[in-house]
Amino acid sequence: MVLRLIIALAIIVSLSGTVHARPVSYPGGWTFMQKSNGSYSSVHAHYSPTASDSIGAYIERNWQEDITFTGIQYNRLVKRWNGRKTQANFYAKVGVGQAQPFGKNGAQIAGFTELAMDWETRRWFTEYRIRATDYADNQSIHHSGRLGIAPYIGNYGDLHTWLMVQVENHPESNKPTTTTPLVRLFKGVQMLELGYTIEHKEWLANWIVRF
Amino acid sequence: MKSLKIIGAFASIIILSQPAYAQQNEMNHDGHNHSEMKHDQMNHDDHDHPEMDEEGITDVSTVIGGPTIVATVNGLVCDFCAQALKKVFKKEEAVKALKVNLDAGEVRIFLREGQMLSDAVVAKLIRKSGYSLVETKREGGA
Repeated sequence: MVLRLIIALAIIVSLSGTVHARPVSYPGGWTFMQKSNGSYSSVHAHYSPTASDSIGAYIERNWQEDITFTGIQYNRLVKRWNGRKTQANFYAKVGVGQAQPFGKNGAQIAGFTELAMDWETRRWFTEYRIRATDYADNQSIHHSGRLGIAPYIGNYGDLHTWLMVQVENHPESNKPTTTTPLVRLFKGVQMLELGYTIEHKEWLANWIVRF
Repeated sequence: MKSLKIIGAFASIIILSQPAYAQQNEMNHDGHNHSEMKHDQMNHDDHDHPEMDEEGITDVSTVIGGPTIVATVNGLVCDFCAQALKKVFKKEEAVKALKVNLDAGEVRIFLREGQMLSDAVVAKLIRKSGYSLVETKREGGA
């Protein structure tokens, strides 16, 4: 079953026209992001009026905390360093909305903030994030980092492949540090990531499309 | 429960990625004025076009010569950079086509005959796309 779904997704990606996981698009661009792993599933749709800002809706179903967050998210490219063969970015994100414990009444004001930094070449990718959430009675701060390598350098329009390792730290979790090997494929306006979190034995599936 | 989560995520992906097709209706166009129709609304059965990409900018493989600006750009590391540049430059009337060479960190801007684009405008458009201009060279009378 899972294999069929992976094949279906691979077909979708191969049939469509690129994307990076960047939270800000080009001026006038729309982006749809879907993320899912063992801890949470989320969708984020945003519009970028400039190459430095985006604003949109964010919905997260947090499986670990059994909470649903619904709100507005603003992303800001604080600083970009464009090198001859490199690019580095510093992003700030903030979300405000409501969190509702699953199966209970009484939503509460909730929010989150995140700082993210990345550096990449056409061969290497590194990223670090720190995210603080306040979802009703659940407060959390967690970190994640990524290291990736492109096994080949594709030309413009090709299917690009990245092999990555993601390490996350959730201090309050019973398994605070997790490791997720993943593959990132992107072509045209679409990006797909598939991975597996070893410690939790959970699949990761992220998909982003830009318009 | 885990399978359910994954299946739910994949289902949303698949549903949201279904293309929408416009209906094609036979219509009587007598008495209509089509002189102001957009290019993508016209019938192209009886003539050939140079190959065009999804932005409607002519594919560079079919563009020969003409006034060209070669811009060296910092920060070009991925296809998405190229797409951002295309999205921004396509809005310029003077631009006929764009070719991004990621290996060289270079953007070739093909201009329409008789049109011009100053270095200041090129730098502004590249900055608007999120990248930075190093230098420009001009070819073919651009």
